Amino acid sequence: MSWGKSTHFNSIRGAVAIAGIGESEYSGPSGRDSKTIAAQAIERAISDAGLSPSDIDGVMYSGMMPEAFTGEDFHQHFGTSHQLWESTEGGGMVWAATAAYQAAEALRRGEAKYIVNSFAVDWATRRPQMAGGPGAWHASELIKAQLEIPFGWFPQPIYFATFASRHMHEYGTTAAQLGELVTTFRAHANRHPDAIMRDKELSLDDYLARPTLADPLRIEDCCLISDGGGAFIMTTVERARDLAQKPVIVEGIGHGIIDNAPYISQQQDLSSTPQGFAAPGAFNMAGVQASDIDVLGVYDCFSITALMQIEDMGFCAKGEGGAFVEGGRLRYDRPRASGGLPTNTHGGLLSHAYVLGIAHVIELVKQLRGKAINQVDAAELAAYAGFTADESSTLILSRG
Amino acid sequence: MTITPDMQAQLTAPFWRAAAQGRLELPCCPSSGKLVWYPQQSCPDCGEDLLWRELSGRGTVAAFTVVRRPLFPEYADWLPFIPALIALEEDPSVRLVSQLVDCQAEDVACDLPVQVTFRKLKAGSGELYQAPLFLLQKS
Repeated sequence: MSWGKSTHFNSIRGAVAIAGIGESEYSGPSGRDSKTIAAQAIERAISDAGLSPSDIDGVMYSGMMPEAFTGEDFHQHFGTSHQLWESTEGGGMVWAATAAYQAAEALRRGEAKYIVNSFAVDWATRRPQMAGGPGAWHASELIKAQLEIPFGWFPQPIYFATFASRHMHEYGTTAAQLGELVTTFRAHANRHPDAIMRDKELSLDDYLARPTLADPLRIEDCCLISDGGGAFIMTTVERARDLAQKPVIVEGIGHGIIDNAPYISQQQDLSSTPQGFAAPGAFNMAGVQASDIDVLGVYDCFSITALMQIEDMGFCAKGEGGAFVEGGRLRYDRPRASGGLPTNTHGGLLSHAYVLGIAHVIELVKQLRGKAINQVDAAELAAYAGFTADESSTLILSRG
Repeated sequence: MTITPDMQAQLTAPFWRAAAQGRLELPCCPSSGKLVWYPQQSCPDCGEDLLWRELSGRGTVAAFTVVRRPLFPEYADWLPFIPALIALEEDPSVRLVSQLVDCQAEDVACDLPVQVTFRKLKAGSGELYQAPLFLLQKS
């Protein structure tokens, strides 16, 4: 039975390169606001590419984020006034993948030559005010406010604890298997100087000894709440070859959405994600298969959402994700050639920073440049799995 | 944020008015009788106005969780509590977001049969409202 659909895209294979990356500091409450954070990441991305602010003629950000860094913010920050192409179809989450599509169109039509996509949050700083943050959108939606929240099905950890119970029921997935995924990402963060959890080690025994917040999820199964952001610069492959860094090339994108969106309570297959509707199109566009991917960045707002997306992308059979992640298979030093699938090598949303996927894409670019802290041997092909509960996206990148 | 169902919200108030009188009612297509959930302005199949119809109140647990910590302050007085997605007997593809009551967490499992009951709830500083909650059915 079908319960979602794939978005059609014309092929953009080889039409876009990521030529620069930049990140802010990642932290808990820092007192910085999201525009300041975005500006820092954008400055660093421009510098990384070997460009100057006046070269940037395209700005992408998320139209869903009221505090996003817009073209007006760009001019104000950099003191520029030139013509800018702008798109609100950028940012993090699913758009960290699909931004490349709008960018390809703008590059093809000659509307922009160098496009910066950014995403930043200051949710750690704003958390005490209970303002903004990941729950605010859900609470503002009429049907959720009237027919879900009065029963206590809110906020997001409750949603995905519920999904996890179904996955465990259908497939026998265990807490220890979720813990394997969590502790592997933590071990990556422990080796990563920018990761918020760099100093906090977590063994599987530690994990299992922790209390549950909402069965079967522990706090360690839930993403951090962070201040931080990132930016990357997209241009044509040809132009990217003249810049400071070895280009990383967009090979494919995909996007899928559930029926009844945005209401995931009505999602017919509760132990899956719409990634199953996103990944096939991206692999097809790229002309590759899941087995060709050397390194994965998967949206891990919760351990279970990462596990389900690994299955839904076809890295293992549906329902076998729990067994698949056992034995350290997701570790950065277990390359595909030795049966591994290096995943979230920066630590992910669970242990690096909750910046909604932008840092996942940046980490994959570092991997393909051969410059990651937790470098995967001979990484040539990478995949990002983006997620917003009712939507998933996929981005396939290659070393240029 | 205060949690009290809005009795003036046109799309959803019929659900809460029925619940206040101890009935579980959901909207359906007036010609086919097929449930339309969540509520919409009109039937997506035939365009007619939806008809609210009383259901048996029987279903199964599609999925659930046991909330043990105050993840949202308005629910703090309820801890622990068991939110669940209930697949309804009349159409199991329709899920009612609800809660399981009068049971031990360890006795709950997916796919168990349940029966509606009506209880008064009060979330934090909100007002009292009667809600359709569910009991595990004795086998």
